[in-house]
Amino acid sequence: MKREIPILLTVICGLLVTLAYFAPAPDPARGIEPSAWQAVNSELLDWATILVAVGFLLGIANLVRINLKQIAAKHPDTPYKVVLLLSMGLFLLFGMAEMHVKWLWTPLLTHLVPSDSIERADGTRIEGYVLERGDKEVTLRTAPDYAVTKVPADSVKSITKRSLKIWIYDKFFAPLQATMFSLLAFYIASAAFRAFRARSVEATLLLAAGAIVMLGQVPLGDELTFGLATPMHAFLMGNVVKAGQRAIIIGASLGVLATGLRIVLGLERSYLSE
Amino acid sequence: MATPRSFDRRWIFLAMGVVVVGLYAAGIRAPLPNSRYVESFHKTIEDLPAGSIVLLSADFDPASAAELEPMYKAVIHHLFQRNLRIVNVATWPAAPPFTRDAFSRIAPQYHKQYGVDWVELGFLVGDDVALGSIGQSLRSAYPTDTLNHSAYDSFPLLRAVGDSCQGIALLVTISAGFPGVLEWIPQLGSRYGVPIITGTTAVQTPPLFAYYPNQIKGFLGAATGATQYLQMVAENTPELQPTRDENQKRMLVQSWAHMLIIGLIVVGNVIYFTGRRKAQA
Repeated sequence: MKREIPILLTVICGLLVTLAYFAPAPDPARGIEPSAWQAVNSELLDWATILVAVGFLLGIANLVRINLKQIAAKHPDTPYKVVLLLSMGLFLLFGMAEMHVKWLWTPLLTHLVPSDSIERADGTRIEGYVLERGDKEVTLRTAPDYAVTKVPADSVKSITKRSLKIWIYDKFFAPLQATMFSLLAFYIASAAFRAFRARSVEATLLLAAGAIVMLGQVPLGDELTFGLATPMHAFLMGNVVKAGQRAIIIGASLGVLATGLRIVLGLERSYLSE
Repeated sequence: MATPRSFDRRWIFLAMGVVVVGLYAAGIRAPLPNSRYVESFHKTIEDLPAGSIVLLSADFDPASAAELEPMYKAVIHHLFQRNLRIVNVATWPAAPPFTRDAFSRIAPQYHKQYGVDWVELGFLVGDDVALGSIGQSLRSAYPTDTLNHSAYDSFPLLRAVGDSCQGIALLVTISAGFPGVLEWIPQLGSRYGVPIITGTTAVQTPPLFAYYPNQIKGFLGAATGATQYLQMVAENTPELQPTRDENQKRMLVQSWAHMLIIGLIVVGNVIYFTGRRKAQA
């Protein structure tokens, strides 16, 4: 049963989702009502989304477990692992706090979440937390007791939202990620000098094609090649690359189809570690 | 004689740094001629009747923001200019701060009202599965919006979209990788017949040629495509002209960075073949 039930579930889910793909999509304009296939498919997609979200939690738990183990074993990268865990923990804490402003215990709220600045129609400003901004009223938690109150929407002129989570994102996460990506320019330049060799006919063709694409992609390319770079680039991309990509995509898709069929029919069981 | 492998690569890093920083500081702009792929992208938006609903998907993060953020903002300007309504989603977890920032700056310039002219649905976890869910039922995928956490049906715009995506006239995906345009094509394009246009990073662009013009109606390939598109849109949008000028400056930097790389390939090969000939002699 340990093998049969997962295989049975895979076969049923795979067949249902595949059949639902070919069922006509609901379209009130053409009088096509949602079919039972769509209902089942929608339900399965919701389950899959939940499973992926749970997968994230498992990923976090695994990350913490592995890194804590390595910190305990005094791994040479311990400082980086500490930074990783601290960053993740703090970002998670601030993010969760912001998501639960409505329910959060007041001392935690005031320490973890920066308050919004609310400008009223009479020109005065109050600090508090905006929970919901509707057309008729704005729901807030404001000092001193941070109880939930409602004020008429027309009494609020503007709201300036502040977020520690976004501040961390803007000041640390975004610049660090952009820096990592920018380093590619330096490493590609180094690799171009050290590794790209015209050792064979194929390698020479690849190098020539790469150079043409690089020239055709930038304004200076045409000026340096008497206007030849752009048409050559267009020919390569619109014919050679297009044909090659189509062949690869069709080949890969047939492979995916065959593997999918094998899984749905219970012939492929590698996902069960068999 | 030093071989390419023994050469201190810090000199190459320095050369690249000097080219990038020096030319950027010089501030010289390099306009580009348009390509048919960019013109098709622009025309697809132009051809939509006013009031049509466009699903805009931010499938990128800060790593690719230098390439993709200018085109993302330009698309929002263009859609609002044409009085099209936008349903914004994100399939990358780090995208929503960009999208919120962009809309909070651009929407007021066109006096667009949240919930009527645009709505922010935020990030949906699940990669391909999430895209399938959006196609199957936007309401089920996003029971609430992400700015106000209000119910789906409380927004006139989302009521116009309806349950599935039949109300969507066009999908614009600004895509940096997986999940992105290549996953949207089977999930929304082929399945529900929603026309797709896209803007992508340089590494994601070559596969798109295989899908043009059927599955993808037009595309912006990397910074080059973004600059070409900005040149077209900025003509009628003074707010976009600084971004267009900035991108044209970046194109000159990119031009010379490409020249440096080509030069390094040539020099590396000359050294390699000279050394090999000497060794054979």
